[in-house]
Amino acid sequence: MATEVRRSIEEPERVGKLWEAMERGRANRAATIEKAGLDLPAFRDRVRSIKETAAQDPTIAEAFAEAVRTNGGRVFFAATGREAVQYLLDVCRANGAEFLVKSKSLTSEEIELNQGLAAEGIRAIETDLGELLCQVAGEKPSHLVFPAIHMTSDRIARMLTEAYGEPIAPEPSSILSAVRARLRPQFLDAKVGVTGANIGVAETGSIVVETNEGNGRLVTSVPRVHVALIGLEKIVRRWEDAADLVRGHAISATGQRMTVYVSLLSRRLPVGGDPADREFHVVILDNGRTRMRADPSFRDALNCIRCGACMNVCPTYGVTGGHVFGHIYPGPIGIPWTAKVHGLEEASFAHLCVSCGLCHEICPVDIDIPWMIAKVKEQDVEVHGQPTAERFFMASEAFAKVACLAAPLANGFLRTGPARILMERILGVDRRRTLPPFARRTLRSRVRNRRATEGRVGKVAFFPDLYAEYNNPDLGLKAIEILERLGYAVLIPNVRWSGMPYVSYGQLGKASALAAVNLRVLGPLVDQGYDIVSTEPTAVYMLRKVYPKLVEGDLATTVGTHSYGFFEFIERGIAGLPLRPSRDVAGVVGFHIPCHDRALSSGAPAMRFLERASYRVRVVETGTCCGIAGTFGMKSGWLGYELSMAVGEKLFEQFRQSGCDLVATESSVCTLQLGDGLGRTILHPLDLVRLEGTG
Amino acid sequence: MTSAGDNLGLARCGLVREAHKPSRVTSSIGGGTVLSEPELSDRFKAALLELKAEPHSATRRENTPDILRSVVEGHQANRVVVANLPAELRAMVSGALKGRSVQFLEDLPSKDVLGACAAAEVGVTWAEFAIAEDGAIVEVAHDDMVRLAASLPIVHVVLLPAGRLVRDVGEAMTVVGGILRASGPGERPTVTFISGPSRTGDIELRLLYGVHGPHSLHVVLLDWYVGR
Repeated sequence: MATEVRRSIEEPERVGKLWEAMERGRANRAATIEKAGLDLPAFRDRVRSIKETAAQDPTIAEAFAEAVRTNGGRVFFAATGREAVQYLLDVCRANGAEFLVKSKSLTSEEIELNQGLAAEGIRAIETDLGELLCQVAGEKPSHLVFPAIHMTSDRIARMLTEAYGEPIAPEPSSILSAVRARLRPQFLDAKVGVTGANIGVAETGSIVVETNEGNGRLVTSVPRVHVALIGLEKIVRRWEDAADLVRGHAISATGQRMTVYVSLLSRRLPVGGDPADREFHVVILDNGRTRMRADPSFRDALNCIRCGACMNVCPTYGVTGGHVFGHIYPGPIGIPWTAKVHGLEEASFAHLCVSCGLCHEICPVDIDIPWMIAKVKEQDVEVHGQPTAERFFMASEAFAKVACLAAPLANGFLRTGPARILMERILGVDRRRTLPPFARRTLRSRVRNRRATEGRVGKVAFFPDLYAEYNNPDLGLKAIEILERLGYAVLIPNVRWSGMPYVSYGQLGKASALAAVNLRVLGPLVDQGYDIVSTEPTAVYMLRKVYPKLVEGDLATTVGTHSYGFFEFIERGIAGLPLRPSRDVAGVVGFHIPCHDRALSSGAPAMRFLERASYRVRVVETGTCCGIAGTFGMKSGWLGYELSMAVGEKLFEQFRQSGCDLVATESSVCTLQLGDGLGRTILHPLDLVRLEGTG
Repeated sequence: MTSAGDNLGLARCGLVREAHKPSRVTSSIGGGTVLSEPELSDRFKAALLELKAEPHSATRRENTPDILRSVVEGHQANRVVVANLPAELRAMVSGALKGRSVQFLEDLPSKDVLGACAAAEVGVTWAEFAIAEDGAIVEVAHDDMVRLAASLPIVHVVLLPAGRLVRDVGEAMTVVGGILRASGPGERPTVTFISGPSRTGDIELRLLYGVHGPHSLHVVLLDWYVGR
C-alpha cells in the first residue's frame, strides 16, 4: 500500500487531473444546488427515507419482479455474482451472440461480468467512452464518474491508433469521432445489450437508465435482447419516489440538474410495428446485499445511490485515486461495500481513510460512511494488527500527562533532532512534524486557584480536550474568561479526552469505554442545567456526532444536544462583549474551516466573532481536508506525513496565493499542518482579540 | 466573507423554496396531467440554451416549415427520418423538406427501420411535453423506431406544443407515473427525458458533444399547436 501511495504522489500530472475533476464536481454541485433553490436538508431527508424503504423492505423486489413478468419480461434472482454471469452467458448462447454491447454499469463490474464472459469466449464491449478507454488500456476505472480521468488525450490517441490500426490525432474531438465511427457498427450488429439500472420501480415493473452519452439509448433499442442488471437495493415502490433519485444522481455526480438521457423502460417495444423476438431480461442481484441488510453496522451502505459525491470530497482519494483507494467500488463508500461484497482482505484501503468525516457531510443520502469505515478498520486491525504509531497516538492522553509533569525536559526532547529520529524509529512519529510544546501547568491546575463566579445567565462545563488542557492552557483560560464575562458559571468537569484516535484507528471498544466514562460525568451536569462547551471542534464533533453512535441510549443523545462549539455558544451574548483586536486589522484574516466543524457550524460563528472585532475575514479552502486529519499526518512515511503533506499542498498554495496577512483556524491539529506547510504562525481566533479591561 | 462551507454546498447554503402549487391545468395525456404557466416557457428556453440545445419558436403555422428547412439546411443534411408526428403535421414536414430524402418510419417495412435511421443525418420526432426548469423534453415511445430516429442521426429535431410544460422533474414523474399506470402491462411506453445533446467529459474533463447520440438538439416550440 505504501508503495502504491508513493507512486500516486510522485505522478503529479495525474493527481492534478483527478483533483481538478473533484474540484469541478464539488463546484458544479454547489452551484446547481443554489441555482435550483434546492432545500438540501429536506431533499436529503426525502432521499434517505426513499432509499431506506427500498433497501430494507424485501417485498419491494418481489413486487417489482412480478410486475416485470406481467409486462412480458423475464426475471432472474441471482444470489451471487457468479450466478448472474452464468445467466448472461446462457442468454448470449441462446441468442447466438459472440459479443454484447454494454452501457456503464458498476454492478456489472462488481460481478466481474466482462472477465466471466471473456473466459467463455464472449466479448463485452464497453460503450461509455471512459469505460471503453479503460477497457482498451486494460486498466480499472480510476473515478466513478470519469473512469479514464487518469489518461491524457495524447496517451488516448496513441492507444487508440494502435488498437484501431488507423492514425488518430490527439485532439479530443478527433478521438470522439474515431470512437463513434468504431462503435457504431458494433451497436448495429449487436444481438444482446446489457445495462445496469439506476432505479427499479415496482409499481409498473420499470427500470430507469441514465446516461449522458446516449449509449444507454442505443444499447436498449438496437439489440434484439436487453438484459438489465440491478442490485436489489435499488428498487423503489412508486414513480414519485424516483424523481428525487433522478435529481440526486445528476446533481451529486456531475452537478447537472438532470442526466442528459433518463430512460424509463418497462418492456421491449416493437420496431416498426414488429415485436418479433424482442426480449427483456432483468437480473436482480443479491451478492451479499441481504447479508448487509441483516447487519446493523453496515446496512446503511445499501442506501448508496452511486453518485460519487463522497469520492469528490475525500482528501486522500484525491491524491491516490481509485486504483489505490478502491477495489472495484472506489472511494469512501467503496470501503464498506468492498468489505461486505468482496471481503475484508480486499478492503485494506480502509486505512487510507483519515476520518475527516466529509464524505458523510456531502452524501445526498446522509449515509454515515465514516462510521462504517471505522467498523471495517476495527475488523481489519483485529485480523492484521495495529501499527505502532497508531497505538502511540491512542495513548496521547497518558503521554500528555507525563510530558506536562516534566514539560521543559519533554519540550527539549521534542525539539532535538536525534530524539525525533529515535521517536520516528521506535514509535513511528514522523521527525519532520512539528509537535506542540507542553505547558508546565495544565489548565485544570491553573483554574483551581481562580475564584469561581456566580452564573447570572447559565452554567457551562468547559471540555478542554488535550490541547487546551496540556498544550495551550492560555487558550482555555481566555475562553473561560469570556464565558464568565458573559455571565456563565464555568467549571471544568472531571472528564478525560474526547478520544478521536480510537475511532480513526478502529478501536471502537476503547472508544465506547472512554465515551461511557465521559458521559457518566457529563450526563448529571446536563441534568443540573449545564451546557458543554469546547474550543476544540473535534471534541464537539465527538460529543455531538460520534458518542451517540458509540454508546446506545438517551444519555449520549442528551449530552450531544447540549454540546457546543465555543463560538457557536457565545454568539447569543456576544453583543455585550467589549472585543478589541489584538493585531493590525488593516490586513485580511485567511480562515481555515476544520473538517469536523463542517458537520457542526462550518466555522461561521468564529468568523463572525472575528468580524465583530473589526477584522476582514476570508475563507481559504480547497473544499476538502488540510491533510493532517488528527494524528494521521503525524505518522511517519507515505501512509502518514507524506500523504498528509501531498493533500495539504493544494491548500498551502491557496493560502500563499491568497495574500492574507494572518491565518487563523480553530483546530489544534490543523494549526500544526498549516504551520508546517506555510512556515508561519497560525493563530486561534481567540489569539486575535483581547477583552477591554484586560491585558 | 465567503459563506461558510459553500464549497461543499451543504445544508448551510441551501435555500428554502416554498412548495410549488400548480396554478392551471391545461391538458392531460394518458392519465397524466400536464400543467402550464406562461413564465415557464421562458425558463425552458433559457435552460435549453444553457444545455447547448437550440430552441426555435414557431409562432404561426405558416413559419414552421421555414424553421424546419433552415435547421436541416444549416446542417447541410439530405437524409431525414421522421417518426411519431401527429398525422396533421406530417404533410407540413414533407412539404418543408421537399427535395431531400424524407422517410416517415411508420410507412417503412419494419426490417428497413434500423438501416434508415443509421443512414439518416437528421431525425425528426415528437415530444409529449417538456420539463421547464430542467430543459428536458419528454419523449413517449410506443415503438423503438422513435428512439432510433432520435438517437442514431447526428441531428435531432423535436417538435413540441409550446404550452405543454411542467415545472420540474417531480411534476414530470407524476405525469409519467400516471401515463405508465394507466397503460396496460403489455402496452407501457418507453419514456425518455432528454436534456440537451449527447455529451461526455471523459477526455481530460473537456465537455464534448455527440458521443453516441446527436451532437445537435433542436427544439421547435409550436405556439399554434395544442397537441393531439
